Amino acid sequence: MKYDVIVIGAGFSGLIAAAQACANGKKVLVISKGLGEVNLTSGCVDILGYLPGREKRCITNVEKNLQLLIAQIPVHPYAKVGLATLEDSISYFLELAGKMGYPFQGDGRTNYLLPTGFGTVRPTALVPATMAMGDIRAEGDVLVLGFQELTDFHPRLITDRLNLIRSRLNLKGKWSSRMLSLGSTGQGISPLKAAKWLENKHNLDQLINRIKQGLQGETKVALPAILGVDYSGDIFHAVTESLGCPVFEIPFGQPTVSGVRLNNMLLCYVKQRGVKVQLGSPVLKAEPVKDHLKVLVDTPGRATAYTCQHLVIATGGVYGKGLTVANGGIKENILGLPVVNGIGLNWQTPGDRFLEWSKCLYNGMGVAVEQDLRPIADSGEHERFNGEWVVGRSLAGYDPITEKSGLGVALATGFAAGKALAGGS
Amino acid sequence: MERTQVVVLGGGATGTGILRDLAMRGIEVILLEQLDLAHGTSSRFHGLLHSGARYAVNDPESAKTCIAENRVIRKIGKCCVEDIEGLFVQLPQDDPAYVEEWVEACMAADIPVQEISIQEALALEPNLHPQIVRAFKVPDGAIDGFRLVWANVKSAEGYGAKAYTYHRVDDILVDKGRVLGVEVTDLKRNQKRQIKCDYVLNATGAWVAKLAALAGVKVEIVADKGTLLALNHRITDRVINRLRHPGDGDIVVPHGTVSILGTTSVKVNDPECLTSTREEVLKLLQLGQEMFPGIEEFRILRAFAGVRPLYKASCQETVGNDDGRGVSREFALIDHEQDGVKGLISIVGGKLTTYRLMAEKTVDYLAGKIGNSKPCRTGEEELLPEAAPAQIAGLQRYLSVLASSKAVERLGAEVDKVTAIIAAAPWKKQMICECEQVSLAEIELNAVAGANLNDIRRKTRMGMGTCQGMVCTSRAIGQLYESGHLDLEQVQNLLEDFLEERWKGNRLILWGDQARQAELARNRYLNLFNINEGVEEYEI
Repeated sequence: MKYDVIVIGAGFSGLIAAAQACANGKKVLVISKGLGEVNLTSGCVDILGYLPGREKRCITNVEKNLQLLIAQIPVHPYAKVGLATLEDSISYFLELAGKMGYPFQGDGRTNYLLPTGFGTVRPTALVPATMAMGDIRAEGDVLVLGFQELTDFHPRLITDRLNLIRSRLNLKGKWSSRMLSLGSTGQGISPLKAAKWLENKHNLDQLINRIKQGLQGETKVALPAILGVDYSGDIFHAVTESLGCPVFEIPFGQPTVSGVRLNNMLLCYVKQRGVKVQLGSPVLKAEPVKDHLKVLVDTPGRATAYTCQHLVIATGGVYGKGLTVANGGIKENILGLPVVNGIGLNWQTPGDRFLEWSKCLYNGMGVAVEQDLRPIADSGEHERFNGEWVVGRSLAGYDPITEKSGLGVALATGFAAGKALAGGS
Repeated sequence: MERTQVVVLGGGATGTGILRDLAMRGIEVILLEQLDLAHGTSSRFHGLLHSGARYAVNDPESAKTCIAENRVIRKIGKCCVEDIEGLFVQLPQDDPAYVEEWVEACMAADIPVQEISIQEALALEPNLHPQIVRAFKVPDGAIDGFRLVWANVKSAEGYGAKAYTYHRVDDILVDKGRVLGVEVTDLKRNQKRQIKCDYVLNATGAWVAKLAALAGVKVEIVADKGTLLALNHRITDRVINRLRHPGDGDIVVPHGTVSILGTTSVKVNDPECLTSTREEVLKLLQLGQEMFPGIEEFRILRAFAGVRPLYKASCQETVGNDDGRGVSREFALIDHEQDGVKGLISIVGGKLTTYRLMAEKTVDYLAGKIGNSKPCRTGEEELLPEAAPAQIAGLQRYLSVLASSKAVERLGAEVDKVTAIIAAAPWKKQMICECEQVSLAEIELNAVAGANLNDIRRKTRMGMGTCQGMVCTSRAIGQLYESGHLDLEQVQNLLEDFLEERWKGNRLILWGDQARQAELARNRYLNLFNINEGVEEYEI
């Protein structure tokens, strides 16, 4: 079967690349073994939260710090695609999410400071409407509700830690917590299970009543992010209307409901646009054959061969299995592209301390690319075709965990590659 | 001022064994441990309950005591012994002459050895190298050091003994050549105090010289560091020994769902030198590969190290000349009256399998001095009473069969306490550690004042399974905070300590799936939870 573009990987970068290529008139296939890492994120799109080497200093002015970042690290993916492209990709995403009925807020120039499920604060740039009221700098009292059945959501821990942080920042208003019961039969249920349970109208109505009874004139209510797996926002709106006050969700557990929602929204979007998506299909082999690329996929019963003009490597990093660490080396899995350490750390001797971010193991390891996200040609060990592109976590030169830049880099590079490959053919 | 007849120093197998024996003979005793029970060598070894076969050639005396004690421990220690057997296998490159010598030595030591066919050996243990030449069954077993120590203390407490953990001994008080007591710091309360006593028994293993020095007495031991690897699978169902002169990387011991590959042997100066190197890990794997082809592909959970305290009466002359395996695993009692300090006795050398016998000999000696003639009964009475069927059924009303049986394994008859907590608050049946099936109720049971997560880990196995604490760390802390067991400062400290402790074991083995697991943990704690955030430095 022939496609113009095959994207390997159905995470954020792969789906954005597919959407862009499709919008530019290409016939696109997304092949993926798993679901990508969006499900493990907060469900917000981080652009930049910290500068490397300044990990204790939380960024609120993203625009200014992006300039510093690309000056400091010229191999950073943001530097490769350029800040103008990043800005275009943000507008593109905001429009896309709005069209899908799961609107995001923020413009990518400043950060929200949102509470985490562990009572810390996390900077992030684009946030779903269900979390937009959660910025810890907002004045007024907040009631954080927890539910006994949820093993991973700790309302008292969240409010006690946040009150400490907020008082240090001289912010007005008090956060308080209350523990309720969901009224579900199970104990120790996961966020997804709770969200599914709430999609039943009877359960939802019961819960809303229970919350209402417990309200004592609070101006704002925070709930664990369980307001429906569905990205329609129906449950969020129903809760907000019934309580008559602003409501926001706090993401917790893994997979997070908000991450799953974002992932589903993007999957639906590309499918609606005519991109073919084949999940659960590991790629066995990909190689250039004359004027095109041949991709062999492990499908039930037998292997299936596809051909394409452009191949987008969106397979993820070490966790996503785009890169494999062996005892003695690290490699890119699909094409065997050379992996470099973009920010110059020795991966064989990880730091003594887990918490010393900048000394952690895989910071910056990945595939080195040209400005246009094509792999840098190496010494000729690998035969190279002109239609290969690398996006997202497989790229060298950044550490999404310390920078808080994961989905931002995925968005910008997926967008850039999807656009460039369409324009370049 | 607190006073007792005897103070035992050291909360490892030897110290707690002595505590139990003294208490059972009606002698008043307090045990002092600088950190948590079994934090030292008693939990940092391969967990082998020796049949003695490993020592049969080099150290026949040790071999004889091992097999005798092996039988006793299996009888009294059902709560901590996995009742399995062992295999000794010879590889083509191993010396056949040694095999003959070994069989004879085992027979001489009364260790039952049974040769089996290669076919049978490979059918029993399919991961073994297909080229093995000979295979012998021996009565090796697996023992959980944490549980052994803990069970000894529980039993001793039932007889009126006291055990104080997190009590550092700062001084042994001596006046006119006679022990008067000890000066300790209660580390959790940061308080100094004195405990008066007639006798101090120094059973601190690798720390024995440090403690003896407090009374101005010299004891010479060899501190021998061994590195071990915990593999994520039960790669064998039996203890597997390589049939050659004991050396590095020649033993695998299965424990529950994991296996331990050991060990290396390196002399060190400091008993707290527990850092392994990448070279040691790679060497172990390379040697393990000879017995188990493809072991490098198996997922490794962590690397860890322990220090063996080996005694050699005149070891000063030999330190640096031979490796630790040349030293006898026999033990010795040193009455420091000979050094001018009456009332101080050190117990040195030995090994975990013979801890009970060491305790018996020590207490016999002391009892003789103080005129106590009661016989030793530690080999007759079970360490922990087993849970009755009704107790198990009681817990199964709330927890799954798997979770109940795990809790029963850990707690024995004490499992009732977990049942009671859940009966009063049903939501506490939630699983905090899914790998090891530890409920919130069991965590709370162990969250006594001042306990940190590593203390709870040693008692419940929380965080010791496949995910190595990735999921349960934040969960346990969050839940303990909600129920008022922790304050905010403790939250951050416990989280950091636990993550650092797990990282220590992980950082040398980061490849394959374990590398992915580390990235997952990094993403969860440093990204999603942003636990390292600088709260004071918002650039607003």
